[in-house]
Amino acid sequence: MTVRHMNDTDIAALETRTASVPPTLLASAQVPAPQRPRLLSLEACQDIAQRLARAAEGGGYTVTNIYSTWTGNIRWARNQITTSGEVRNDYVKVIRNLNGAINGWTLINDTSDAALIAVARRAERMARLEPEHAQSDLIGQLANEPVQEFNLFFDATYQLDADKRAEAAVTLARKAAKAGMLSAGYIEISAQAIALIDTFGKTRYFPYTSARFGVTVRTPDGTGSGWAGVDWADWSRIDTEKLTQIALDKCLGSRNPVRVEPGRYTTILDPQAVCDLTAPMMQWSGLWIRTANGSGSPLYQKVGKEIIDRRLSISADPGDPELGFPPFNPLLGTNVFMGDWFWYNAYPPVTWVKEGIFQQFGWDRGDTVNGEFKDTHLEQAGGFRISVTGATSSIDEMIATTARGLLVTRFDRIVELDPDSLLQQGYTRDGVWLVENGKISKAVKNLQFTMSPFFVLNNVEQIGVPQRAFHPKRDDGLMFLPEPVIVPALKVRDFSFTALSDAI
Amino acid sequence: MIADRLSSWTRRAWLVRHTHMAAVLAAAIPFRHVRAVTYRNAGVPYHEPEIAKRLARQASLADPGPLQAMVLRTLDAARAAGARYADARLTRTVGHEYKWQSGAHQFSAETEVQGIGVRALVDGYWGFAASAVYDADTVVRLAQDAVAQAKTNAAISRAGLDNSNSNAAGLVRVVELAPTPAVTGSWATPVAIDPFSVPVEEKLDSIASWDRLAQHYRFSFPPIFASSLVFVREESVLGTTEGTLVTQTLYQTGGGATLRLQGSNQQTLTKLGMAGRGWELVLDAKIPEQIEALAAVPPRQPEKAKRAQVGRYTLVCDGATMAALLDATLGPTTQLDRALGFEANATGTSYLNDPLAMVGTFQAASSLVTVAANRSAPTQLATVKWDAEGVVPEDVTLVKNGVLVDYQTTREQASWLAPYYQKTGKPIRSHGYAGAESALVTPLQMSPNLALASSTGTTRLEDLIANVPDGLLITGGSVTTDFQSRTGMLRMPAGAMREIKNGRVGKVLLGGAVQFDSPDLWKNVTALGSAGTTAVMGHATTGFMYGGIGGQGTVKGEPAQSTPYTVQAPAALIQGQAVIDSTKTGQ
Repeated sequence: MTVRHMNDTDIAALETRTASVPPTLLASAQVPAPQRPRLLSLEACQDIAQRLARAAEGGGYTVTNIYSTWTGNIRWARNQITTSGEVRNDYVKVIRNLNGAINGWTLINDTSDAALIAVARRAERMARLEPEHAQSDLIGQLANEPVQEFNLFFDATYQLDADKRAEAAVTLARKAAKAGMLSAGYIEISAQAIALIDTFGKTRYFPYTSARFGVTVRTPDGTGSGWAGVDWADWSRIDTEKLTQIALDKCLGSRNPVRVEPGRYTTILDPQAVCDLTAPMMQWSGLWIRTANGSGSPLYQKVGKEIIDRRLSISADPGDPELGFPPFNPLLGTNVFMGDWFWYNAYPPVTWVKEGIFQQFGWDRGDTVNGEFKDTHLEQAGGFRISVTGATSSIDEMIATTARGLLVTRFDRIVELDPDSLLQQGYTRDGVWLVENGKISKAVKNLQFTMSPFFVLNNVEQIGVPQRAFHPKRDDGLMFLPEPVIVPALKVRDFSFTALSDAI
Repeated sequence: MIADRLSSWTRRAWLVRHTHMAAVLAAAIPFRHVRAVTYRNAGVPYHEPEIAKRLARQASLADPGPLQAMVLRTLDAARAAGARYADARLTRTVGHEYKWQSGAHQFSAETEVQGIGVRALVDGYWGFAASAVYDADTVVRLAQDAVAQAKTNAAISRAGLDNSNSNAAGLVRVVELAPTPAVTGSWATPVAIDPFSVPVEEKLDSIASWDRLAQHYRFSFPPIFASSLVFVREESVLGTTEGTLVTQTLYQTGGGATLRLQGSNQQTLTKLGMAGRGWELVLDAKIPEQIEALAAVPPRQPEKAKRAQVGRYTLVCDGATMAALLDATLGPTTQLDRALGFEANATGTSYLNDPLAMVGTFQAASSLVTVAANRSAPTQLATVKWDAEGVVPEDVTLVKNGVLVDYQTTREQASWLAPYYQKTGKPIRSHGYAGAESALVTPLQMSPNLALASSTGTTRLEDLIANVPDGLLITGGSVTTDFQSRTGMLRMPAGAMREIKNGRVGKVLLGGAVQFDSPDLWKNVTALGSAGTTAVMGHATTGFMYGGIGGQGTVKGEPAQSTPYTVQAPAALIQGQAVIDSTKTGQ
C-alpha cells in the first residue's frame, strides 16, 4: 500500500491538479492572487516547530501539535442550494515545559513569526505557574512507538471542488423534486494533516482526507421523512445517487404513520441504528479506556467472559482499508482530568471482544498489566468494527422471518442515563415500520427508547453483513478526527420502546 | 475584611506589587472592586519582546484601522468579482480557561483564534470562503472564491431546474435580503474590568485562595473542591457592500465552584454561570464568603428518600427548570429555518412547522405564557449592538398570551414571512438574530436571549407550592427532546424532585422523570412566579477551545456551530404531567 507523507512536492503536485475556481467564472474578477496550499506539508509543520523552538526562552522543551485543515461543503434544503463554503485553517497547539508539571496548552491559528514568538512567551508564562516537577522531562524518555503506515489520503476527496459539489447537490435535489418531495442535504469534504513534533526529536505526521454525505427527504406536508448517509475517507466510495434513492424511498414509505403501543418488540435494526446505539458506548462510557483492572466499569472482572452474542466481535484497526483513521492520537491535552498531556500513543490493532468474549481493558501509561509495566496507552480510538462469525442474513430475510416486530433505520439524540449499566435513551428518526407476518405492514410513528446496548448485543437473533455507517467525526470544535464505524444490521428480541413521539 | 482572614492561608501576602496594573485597575473600576492582589511570580521577570507587544497592539481593536482596511479590501474584491451583495467579517477570539481540583491546579488553556470570512450573493445564491490568515493577497482570493462559488451555485441550479420544473417547493428560491440601514460605529459589552487585563497569576491565585479556604475546614468538614474560570473575548469587524462597517468586542465570563462534602451528595457551592460581564462577575460572586457560610452549616444528615410513583402530577418547577424547558422547546421551535425544514438534515425541524398558517393564530401555550426574544438585555450572552449581518436587533415577542405571533429571523428569513407581516402591518425586516460562531463559518439564524415573562404580582416559589394539594417540586431540571422539540424528558439531579403534600414540601423522590409533550406542557401552565423567582441561565460557547458546551438550542447548522445566549424564566405551576420511572426499560 502506498504511504503518503505529503512533502512539499506532493502538495505542489496536488495543487496544480486542482483548480479551486473554475477559470471561466473569473472573467470579470481581478487576476487571482496566488493561492496558499490547502494543507501543510511535513516540511511546513517542521518549519513551524523549528521556529517555535528558536523562539523558546528559559530552557525546557517544546511540544508542537499542528492541525492543518481545508474543508469544502455545500448544503441544500427544500431542493435548493442554501449555503456553500471553503475554509482553510491551521491550528497550532503549543506546550512549553520549563521543568514543571504540564497542565495546559496555548493554541493559535496564526503561523507568522510574530504569532509564534508571542505564543511561546504565553506558554512559558503558563509553565512558570506550575511547581517544579521532578519528572518533567519524562516525555524525552517516552518510546517513539512505531505507527502503522498506510494511505488515508484520496485525491477524489481532495479534488471535489465547488462546482462538482454544486453539481452533486443539484442532481440529488432534483431527484427528490421530481418525486414531489423536499430534500435537504449536506456534502462536506476535507483534507487534513496532523503533526506532533517535540524538541526531543520525535515527529509524527499524518495526512488524510474525509468525506461525508447525508440527505433527508421529506414530504411537503411533513407527514413522511427519510434519511440516508455515509462517510468515507474516499469520496469515490460514496454512492450519493443510491443513498438519495434510499432516503426518498424511506420518505415515501414512511408517510402517514400510525401509532403503536410502546413496549418490548422484536426489532430489526439497520446498520445505521446499530451504529447510533453502539458508538456512544464505545465513546463516552469509558468502557474501553478504563485502566487495567476496570474497577467501576460494568465489565469489572469480565475479562475472558462472554459479554455479548458469540457471533459478534468488536475490534479497531486504523489501517483496516475499510475502516481507516489516523494511526496515533494527535491530541494534546484533551483529557482535562488525566493530567497527562502527551499521549503520542500509537493505535495498534486491538480486538476488544472476540466472538462474544471480552478480551481486555485499555490501560494508561504507568499501569501494570499482567505484571508488565506499560509506557503507552491502549485506548479506544473512536472508530471500530463489529464483525460477524457465521451466517449472515439480509434485512429482507430478517423481515421475512418476523411474525411481529419493528424495523428501525436510525436513532437520534441519544443520552446516557446510567454509566454503570450503560442505559441510554433516545428517539427513532426518519422512518419506523411495523413488520407483521413476514412483511412490512405499515409505517409507524417515532418512538422513544430506553435501552442498554449490552442488552441489545445479547439478544440477537439474526445478523447482517457489516457495513459502513454514518459516523463522520468526533464532535470537537477544532478537529475532524474520523471515527469510522462498520456494523451489521441486527434483529434483536425485546427492544424496549418507552414512549411515542409525534415528531415526523 | 475577608482579605485579612484570607492572608493567613494564601501563599503570599496580599500586596499590590505591580503598581502599573494597580493604577489601571483603580482607574477602570469603582472603588468597591479594588481588591488587593497577589502575584505568585512577582519576582520572576516576565520578558516580553518588542515583537510580541507590537503584535498585540496590531491585533487589538484599540486600533481597528488595519483590520477595517482588510475588511474593506475584501469587499472591494468581492464587488469587483461580481457580487451583488457581500459581507466580510473578521474575528479574533481569545479564550482562557483555568481549572482547579482537589488542591491542585488542574488545567489551563489559552486560545487565540482568528479568521476572516466573506459571504457573497450572486443571482440569488450564496458563496462563502474563509481563512485563518488575512493578509492582503489572501483576502482577495477569498472574495473571488466566494463569488465564484455563488456563481457556480446559481448557474448549476438554474440549469438543473430547467430540466425539472416540478419542484415541490413551488418556486425557485432566490435569496432576498430584507432592507436594513447601513450602520457604522463600534460597541463593546460593557464590562467593569476586562478579564484579560487581570493577569493569569491573579486569576489562578483567586482559585487557589478559594481552594485553600475550603481546605482550611478540612478537619470538620472534609471538602473536595473543584472550580473553574472561563473568559472569552471576541473582537470582530463586520463590513457589507451596502456600507455597513462596525466593530464589536463581546465578552463572556463565567465558571463555577463546587464543594463536595465527603459521604454526602455533591453540593454546588456556587455557579458563577456565564454572562456578558468581565472580571467583576468573579468578584461579585464573593466566593470566600460563600465558602465560609457553607462551612458554618452543620453537615446535612442523609435525608430519607423514597421512589417516585408513576402517575400524573401537578408540578412546581423552579426558574432554572423552566429556563431549561424554554431552551429545549419554544426556543428552537420558533426558529424559522427549523420550522421550514432548512435544518431537517441537521439537528431537526420544529413542531411549529407551518409558519404562515400558524403564526398569529396557533395556541402554543396557555394564555399566561408570553415568550420574548432579545439581544439587548444587559449582561446576557446574545446581547450585541449589531448582529452578524449588521442589523440592530429588535426585541421580539414570539408567543403572546399563548399565541404564536412571530419567529426568529435573519435578513434572508424575514422575506419568507412577508405575507404575514403585510397582513398585520408589520415591516418586513430582520429581527437581527443572525449569528456565527466565528468568521470561519457562514452566518445562520442563531438563538437570541429568550425570556419567559414572569407574573406581575409577588408570587414566590413558596406561594406556588402552597396551592398544590398533591404534586411535585422540581428544581434544577434538565431537558432532552426529539428532533422537533416536541416529545421530551425532564430529568433532575438526585434530590431535586420532592413531593408536595397539602401545600408543603415533603420527601425527596428518586428515580422519577417527567415525560412531556411540549404543546401539552405549555398549555398546562396555570401559574407563573413573579420576577423574584426568575432564573437566568447562560449558554457559553467555548466550543472553539475544546468541544461544545451548551443547551440543545445552541448547536445548529452544517457544519455545526454554536453561539452564546441566555435564557431566563420564572418558576411555574404545570398541571397533569406524566411522571415515569426514568430507568425503566419497558413492559
